[in-house]
Amino acid sequence: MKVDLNYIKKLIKILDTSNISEFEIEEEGTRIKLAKPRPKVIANTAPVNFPVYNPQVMSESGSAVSAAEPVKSVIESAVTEKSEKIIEVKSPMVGTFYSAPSPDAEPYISVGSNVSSGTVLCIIEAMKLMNEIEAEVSGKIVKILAENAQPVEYNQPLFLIEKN
Amino acid sequence: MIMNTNLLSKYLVDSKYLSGIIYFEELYSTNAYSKKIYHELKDNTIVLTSYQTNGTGRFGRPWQTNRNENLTFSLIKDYGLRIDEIHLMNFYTSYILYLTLNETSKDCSEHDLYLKWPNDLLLNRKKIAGILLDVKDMNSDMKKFIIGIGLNVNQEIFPEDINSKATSMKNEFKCEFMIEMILINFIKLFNENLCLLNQGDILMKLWKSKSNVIGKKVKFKQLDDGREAEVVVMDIDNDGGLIVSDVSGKTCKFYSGEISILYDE
Repeated sequence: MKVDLNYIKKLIKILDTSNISEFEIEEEGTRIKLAKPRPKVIANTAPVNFPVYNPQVMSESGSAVSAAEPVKSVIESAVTEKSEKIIEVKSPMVGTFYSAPSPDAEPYISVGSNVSSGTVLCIIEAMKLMNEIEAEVSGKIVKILAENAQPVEYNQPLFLIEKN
Repeated sequence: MIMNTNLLSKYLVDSKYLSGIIYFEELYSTNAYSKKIYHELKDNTIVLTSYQTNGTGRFGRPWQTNRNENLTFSLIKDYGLRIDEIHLMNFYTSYILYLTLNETSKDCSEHDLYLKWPNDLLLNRKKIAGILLDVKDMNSDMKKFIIGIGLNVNQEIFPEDINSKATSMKNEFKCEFMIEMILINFIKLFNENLCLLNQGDILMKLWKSKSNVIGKKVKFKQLDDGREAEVVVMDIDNDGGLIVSDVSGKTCKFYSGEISILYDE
């Protein structure tokens, strides 16, 4: 079977409008497996995409491909992480972001730091008020999104914390 | 002369204006010290020193003072302000310091005393006081403010590099002042006018009436990259932001940064 894009698109469409949650087709040594995520997950992903549409399937003509399973699990975990585990810390005000209490001091936190509720994460300076921004949850810093001594806007994301 | 803490205690603690005074003949920084032990500091406590050895302004800039000649202290104040009202504590403190100087020196009216955005006090065009606030407990309704104040009182000689920009009460008013009395005046005025913190628009109006910056051409310096631009100050917004207009007539609002007034001379 020659794996062709339109053919896969058609298969996806059939699957999408059907009640079947997955199917597998094998022809001339090429195996294509398509699966829909559980309805619960679909509800959480805002635009309902076809999770099995993976270009790799096309390039690997002749060999058995099973793209559906891994893609599905990636989407599932991304959804749970975003909504439950990863917390975004946003700037409560307009000001200047400082990662350390003074220019020659160690930063309050770095990627990998464990924080708990009340841990100071940074300072936002506005009008000579040095506002200590504190963590609201316990967890681990996975990303720092602002740069030292740079201006930040209201609600601008500053950190990502992975909740314990 | 070291601080007369008995006098301060009699006027400020016995009368319930303050809950306590922590005094050091010498201390690295009253704000840094207060931050370190802030869990133990009750509302309305002051940390006071006669000689601050390592005082700083914003981000490590030194605030140098001579031993026993100036007023350097931090006032610990617990106050319920929303995050979008926090800036009021800054404008309130500098306004109270303005009133304190007016009350302390009777011939103040013969001198130029003005507030400079965001919270400096200028006497005869030179800086006489600096204020820096640290805000703790941002996540709770009741914030803890560590209000650091440095006021040049009796110092006559300033280092050469700041001599043209800094001054003291003694240098301008030509007499010696009792540091304790200035502190007593400040704490009283601070306590008696607290209701202004709940009337932000009135406070901002009062503050602006004691500032001479609106309508003036100023040099604005951004803190992040040190960029400087000549702008005209249009207004100070009720949210504390400085509204300026650049050469092309475009207006924008700043919350960080620093201005210096350009005088036509």
